Amino acid sequence: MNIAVLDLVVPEVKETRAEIRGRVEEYFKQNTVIPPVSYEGLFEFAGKLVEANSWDNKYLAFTMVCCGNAIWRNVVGAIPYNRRVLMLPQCLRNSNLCKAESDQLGLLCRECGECNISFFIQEAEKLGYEVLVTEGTTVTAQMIESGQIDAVIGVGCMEVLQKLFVSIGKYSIPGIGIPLLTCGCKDTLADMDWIKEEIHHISEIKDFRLLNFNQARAKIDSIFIEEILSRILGHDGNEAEKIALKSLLLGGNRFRPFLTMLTYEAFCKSFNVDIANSITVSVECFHKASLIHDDIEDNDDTRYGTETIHAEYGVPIAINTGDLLIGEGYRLIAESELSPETIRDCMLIISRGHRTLSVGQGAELSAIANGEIPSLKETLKIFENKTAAAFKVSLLLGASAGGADKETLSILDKFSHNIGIAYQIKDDLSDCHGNTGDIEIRRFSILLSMVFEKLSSDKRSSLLEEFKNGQSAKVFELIKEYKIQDETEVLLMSCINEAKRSLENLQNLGLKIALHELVGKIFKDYL
Amino acid sequence: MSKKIIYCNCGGDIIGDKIKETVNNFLYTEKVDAVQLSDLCGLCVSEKKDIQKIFSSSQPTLILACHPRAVKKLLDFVGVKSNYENISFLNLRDTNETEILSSLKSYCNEEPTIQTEHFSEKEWPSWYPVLDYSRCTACGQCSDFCLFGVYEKVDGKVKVVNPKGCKNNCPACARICPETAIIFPKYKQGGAISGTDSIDEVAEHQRQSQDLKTILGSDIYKALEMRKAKRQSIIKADAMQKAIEERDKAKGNEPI
Repeated sequence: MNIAVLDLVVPEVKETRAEIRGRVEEYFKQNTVIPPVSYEGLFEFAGKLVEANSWDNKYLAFTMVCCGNAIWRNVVGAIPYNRRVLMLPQCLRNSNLCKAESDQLGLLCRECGECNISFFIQEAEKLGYEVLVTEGTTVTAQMIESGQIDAVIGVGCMEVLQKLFVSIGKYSIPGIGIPLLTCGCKDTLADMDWIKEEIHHISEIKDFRLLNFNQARAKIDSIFIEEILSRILGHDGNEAEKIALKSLLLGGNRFRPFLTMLTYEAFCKSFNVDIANSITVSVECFHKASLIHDDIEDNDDTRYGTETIHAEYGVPIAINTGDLLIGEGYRLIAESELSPETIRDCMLIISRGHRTLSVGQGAELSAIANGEIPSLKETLKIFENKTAAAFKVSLLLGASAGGADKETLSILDKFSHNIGIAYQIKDDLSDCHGNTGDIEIRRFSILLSMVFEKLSSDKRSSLLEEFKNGQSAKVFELIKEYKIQDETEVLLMSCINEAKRSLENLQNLGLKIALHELVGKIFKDYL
Repeated sequence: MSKKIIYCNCGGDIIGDKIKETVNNFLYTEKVDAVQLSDLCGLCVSEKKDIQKIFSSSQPTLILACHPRAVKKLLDFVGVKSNYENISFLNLRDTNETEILSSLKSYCNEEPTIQTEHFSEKEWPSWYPVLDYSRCTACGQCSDFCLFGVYEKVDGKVKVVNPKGCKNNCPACARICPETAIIFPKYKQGGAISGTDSIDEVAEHQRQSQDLKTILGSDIYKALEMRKAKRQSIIKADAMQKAIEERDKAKGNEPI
């Protein structure tokens, strides 16, 4: 059976549908699978079930839908009605009698009662659902990709469900799919009872907490304002403190504190605002300190569209600001309301991270000083020490402060390692995807290291000479010639897949879903 | 030869009031030969013959309307055959008042003013697609997709045969068109769907998702709640209308 060309058939007879659904439910009751599961994973499960039950092979895709539903059902059921969205297809309406108009999001149903749509809308809205009646997949995919929707129940033909699985799978949104009984884009039919059943489903999962990116972001945004920050930081109007505060307020996407907030929320028994403030600001203190020192080391005069600290105040003051921020980062943890044991764990996480980062930076600096291009292995080690370490500190600090166990921390450690390296590879690759097709190569790009790996040693030294003199045309040519970009993408994909795999045994369901969603969001152009 | 100005007083919500006011003031106070159209899209359906006549004069003409590609395809749709030799287009969607005024000034005449006005149906929002045949490959996806028979495939060519069947503000067929060949001149968000010259399909796709992002805003649930309220008010208005009709019917039965 080929995964690429599946028969998209729905059993006509209600009893056949009920049998497949029932058996699938039964199977996953006995074999618990923590979502998400990839398309290939569903294919495998469905294949096994079709064979074991001697169902017609043409129902394989339908069985996949049922498997996906069975795996996600409890999660969807644990999400409150008013955070779920019901998506209905426009084709369910009565095309002759429907007088409703459309807006950008779809049909504005007038509930005339000539088709089943009004019935479903009333039924779902009564419970608190948001309902959309849309065409095709554009709007639905967009909603899913926004990352704001907590759960989706989607009705659509098998073709549409298959297409949408790509987005659902990518972002790991809890979802249930209900296939239409007929296709053809006009006056279609749906299994009323099935839809009704899924809409009403409620379940309880112990310790399940759905993490909403938007809410975590909003919390971070509310911390990083002058009024709150100056209260969290030791502040009595000293000039050095003012500059440190200013650098914390200035720009950046606050990705690190966001990650820390996410893992803290995932594990904390009850949300302690003071602890959340301390750990998220601490993580950002270290980040900003490293940027200030970085800018001095690299002699960069602008960042976030404005002057860097050393450009504005001079190098001595900038060094001191960085030092002050590092001190604040440690103090915030040491003085927090966390238990002494947890403080010790958190101190270990950040001091190790601090150390690793400096070692990585050191490797890069000495390579620059010696005029060398690091080997691929060395480059990956730099990525690990610099980027992966940042992920690790952010994720582990929140998790540890929230009370995660050792096993969970080691899973997050592995995840950070892979996603960190992948993140940096993506960053280097994106320099190659300029609008004009030009390639911009930074001093240490993984692509550069890969080109050098391909060359003999005398070719290397002549290329290095050219590169040092600012002639990069030859490098670009070689990147094209050796198809370095493709090779880098393969490496990237293996890191992404490894990152996903490292989450397999993560027991915290809310965090597991959230981290899959995070991977989807960061690498959406490659998945 | 005297110069002519054709102005579409767009019935859609895409040209700013200030711009319309500026143009109207100018046309009513200066010496111009002006044809005022209440809505070109509407007239292209209801007054085909008039439009053909208006646009086939050989006078030097300035057309004030939306994106030129949208206007040209609308005129193709009505069957205006022109090589646009003496015709200039002024895109009111992205021209500022000063530029508009300076263009208008160069189309003033010595002779006294001639003003003609043409009105389209007020009830119909005149929202419908036109095709850009330089892009269309007649794949027929739009025609298969549309539920309301707006399109038909005739002799290997896809045609807009029932513009009035189109649902107001629904650009769904344009979104699925693989060649970005479908234009909705009244599409508010811009891009190829509104008739810009963009042909980059990937960029268009991104732009469309950006449009949706703007509509959904930073809080999707809030946006959906607001939309729910809008829909409820439509249903309420329906119920009210029905009640009035029934009351009138009842009244009609009573002796006066």
